[in-house]
Amino acid sequence: MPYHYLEHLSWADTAFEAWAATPESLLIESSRACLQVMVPDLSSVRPRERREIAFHSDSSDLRSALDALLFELLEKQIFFKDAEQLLLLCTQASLKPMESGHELRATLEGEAIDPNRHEFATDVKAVTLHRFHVEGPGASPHKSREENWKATVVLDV
Amino acid sequence: MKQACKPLSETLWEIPTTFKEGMKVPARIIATRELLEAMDETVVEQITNVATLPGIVKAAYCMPDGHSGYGFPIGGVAAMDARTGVISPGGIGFDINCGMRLALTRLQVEEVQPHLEKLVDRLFERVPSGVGSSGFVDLSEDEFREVAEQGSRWALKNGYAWPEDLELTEDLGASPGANADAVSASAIQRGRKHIGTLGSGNHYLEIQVLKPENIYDPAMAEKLGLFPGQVVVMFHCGSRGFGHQIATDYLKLFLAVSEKKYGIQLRDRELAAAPFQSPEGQAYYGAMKCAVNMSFANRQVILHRVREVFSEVFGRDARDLGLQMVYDVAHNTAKLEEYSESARGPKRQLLVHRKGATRAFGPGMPELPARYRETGQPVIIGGSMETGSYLLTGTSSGSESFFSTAHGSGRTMSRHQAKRLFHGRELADKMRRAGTYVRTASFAGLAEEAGAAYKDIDEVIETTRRAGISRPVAKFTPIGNIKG
Repeated sequence: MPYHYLEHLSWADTAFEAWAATPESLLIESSRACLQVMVPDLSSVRPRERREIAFHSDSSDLRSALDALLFELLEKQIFFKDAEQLLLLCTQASLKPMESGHELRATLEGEAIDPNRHEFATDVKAVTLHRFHVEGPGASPHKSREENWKATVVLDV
Repeated sequence: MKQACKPLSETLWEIPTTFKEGMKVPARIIATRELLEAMDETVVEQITNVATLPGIVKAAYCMPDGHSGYGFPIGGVAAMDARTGVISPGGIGFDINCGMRLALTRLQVEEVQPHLEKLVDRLFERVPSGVGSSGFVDLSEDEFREVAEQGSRWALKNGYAWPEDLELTEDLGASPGANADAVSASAIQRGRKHIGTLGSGNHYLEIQVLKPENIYDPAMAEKLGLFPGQVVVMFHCGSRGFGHQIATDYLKLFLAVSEKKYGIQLRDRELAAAPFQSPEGQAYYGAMKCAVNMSFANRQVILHRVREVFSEVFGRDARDLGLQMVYDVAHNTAKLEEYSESARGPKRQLLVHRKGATRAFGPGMPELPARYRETGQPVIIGGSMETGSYLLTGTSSGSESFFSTAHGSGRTMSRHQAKRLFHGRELADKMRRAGTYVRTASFAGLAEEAGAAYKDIDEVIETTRRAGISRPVAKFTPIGNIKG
């Protein structure tokens, strides 16, 4: 599984590390890690609703941009959970350099919360910036290609 | 890093300003040697970072239940000069006005036990909890803005409160300075359906009993309306998605301006701050107060549901059942308070951040309701669901820490470790055998909240007594519990 939960970063809350070959895949895997804190069985979340989202980062550096955009993506996922009672996963992401930074366009898919079918673990209140970090290629020379990109995220629960 | 802590007394440790460049005041940890040794090292890192914030006065404090947080440690207290100092969302937390409410009954435990399961089951239905839960109060966005600005006053106008409930809530249930125009549309959308909901994690609603042997100050207990064998109701929750979104919105804004606009060196992104008197500082304060008020209204509506359920089950009016409040107090907030450096010195206004710390005003303080001016302010400190919770009062000697005390007991292990060691359904069965009937929206979540995952609340409470920052009155034992 391209993410795991960390014990040492926070006792009161939940933290994970996700890794992937590309920035877009990192966004998708991080989204899965975030939702799985709330719904351990992700297969119980059916793709019945869709939300298209777009964010912009001023940073021309891909790693810095991804750092900011990952935060926005996870925050939006948590927003939909409360504002529209939707459990959503990022299923598609496109990250493009622009004249002034980077743009993320992503698709979130899922369905309305159904206590009869979804078994819940812990509610996520917010994405924190505590140890929040995205690493890009070259950060660790011994990594495999599947670990090109890595994110560390602490969620307030 | 804890080696840098020098004892000022058996319950007060100081880290001098020489420990870290930029510290403007010392850091002080209120703890016994044992509690200090059990604290993680990050607490020292974080509380000494807090001591570098502009305008901080006297010392950066950490309470006996302190543990690592985001920016501030949990249990962090920092008072800033209101004219020249900063405000920092990290000093309040994501769950703005997470807090505690305690209500009494006239019922003895023998009267309640035959009805306990029915009470807990009905409360579990009527007070939604867990992921994505929505309350029964259906509000438009404009109505929700009214809640944000009026707090418990909105609840009174709409039939969810008794008039005396407001007097017995910190800030009379409506913190001044709330400004709904400073709140984002996202925060309104996220919080609109959360009035009357409990949340998840370590939030709970408990039916508790006061065993005779757990009355520590009989005279004070009597003054506060307690008696042996009494059943009480206590709950712990906050501003839900509304406060969480406000905190996130302003953390992002402050990150953009802290260094670039105000030259505040950030030791930690979660310590992002702005001058309290700046447009950004005032905007966050106004929005934060909206979350404070929404949380008071949330706990008021929950109390309304508790009264309804007890009334239905016992077939008696809630007033006849004596379902009166003791107090409602926040443990994640920032308050404007006046302090002087000496007994006769001039007072100045300070912005006191309390993150995982409870205000504990002592006897005689004019802000207290008239009935508590002699006793000091009631303080409600929650323990784990297996160990019980405490009622205390504030003390005059609490001025050391800006009349602040602990808020809970702090964890001993991560949530994942707790889920590996404990199984929710087995835990619920074990608690039932031990005398507590639990209903939960998540057995995985229940395992995370096992008693062994928390520090010894008795030791934390005793430390607050020895340190003189609060005075134990009684300990309540849970017999019924609702968790998200």
